[in-house]
Amino acid sequence: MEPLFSKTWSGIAVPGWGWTGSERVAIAAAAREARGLASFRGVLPDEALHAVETIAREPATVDESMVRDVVGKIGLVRYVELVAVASIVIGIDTMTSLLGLGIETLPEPTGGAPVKNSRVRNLRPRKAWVPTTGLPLPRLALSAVPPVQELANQILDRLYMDPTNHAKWKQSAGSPRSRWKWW
Amino acid sequence: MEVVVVTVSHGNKCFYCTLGHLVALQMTANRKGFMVEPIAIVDPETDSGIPGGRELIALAQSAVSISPDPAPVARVAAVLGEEAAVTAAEVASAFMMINRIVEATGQPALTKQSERMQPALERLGAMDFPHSGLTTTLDKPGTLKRVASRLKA
Repeated sequence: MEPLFSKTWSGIAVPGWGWTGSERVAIAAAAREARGLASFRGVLPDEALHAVETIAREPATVDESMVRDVVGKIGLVRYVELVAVASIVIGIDTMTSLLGLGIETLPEPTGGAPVKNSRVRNLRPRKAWVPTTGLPLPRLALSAVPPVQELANQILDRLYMDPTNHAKWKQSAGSPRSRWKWW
Repeated sequence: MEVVVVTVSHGNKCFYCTLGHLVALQMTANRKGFMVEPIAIVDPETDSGIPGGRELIALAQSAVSISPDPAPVARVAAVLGEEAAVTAAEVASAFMMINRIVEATGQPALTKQSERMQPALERLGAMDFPHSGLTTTLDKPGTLKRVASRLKA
């Protein structure tokens, strides 16, 4: 688990396509503060901070007009990156809390300006509120900014799709009656 | 595993993930000829029909709470073993992330799935989730399954 966390924190601390490393770490801190886990000491635009708080506390209350408003003010790339960072930090915090490991220290940001965006092939408005490169699937929801989609997919692959997890269940779930439940 | 996903997604009021994984849970049950009772997610008096179901649901509910607690993980470990408990915690954490990504980007669920599962969704109170009306149809049947397989590969 540690290599995954370390890779993820490093991925958050570096400048992204829309935010600096400091801003990305500030987004992570703001997500934690919204869940009462830390105090936020960073500078983010008000609309970005509001979006982070809503995603962290009550994600289902995000609606299309809010997304349009925030994207109109901070831009699509920054919004997608913000969603990724806030969601990832909550996933990791949940994991470490459930395992009794406490909350990990946020990474030191890497300096530098946001990196130049590359053109994303096949990116266009489809069925979701943000443009994507394909169908409505979580694995493509952040595809407007491939580096953060990749970061989220790595976590998903390790925590949910990892075939070794399936093997673990097969070993531990006991009787044949119980096994069907998981596959 | 799917009961953990459905419980976390239900706790986060993520319609897309609640629906998709409820379908997965019931398909597995149908395929294997067992009964599963998803209402156990919201009704602690009901037996889910899943070994360790009560403990798994408690773990998932703890994940959604503001202070996730290791105690339910230990209870799953006592019933299903330590590795299963860690896996359940991992899956719950993954969906704390995925639910947020889905909800904040407005991923629509499939209209046909939603219609087919409506009775179960109503019993779970999921038709009252803010995005229960956010559904779509796909142009070509089976497209989602094919793309999902390709992405997984």
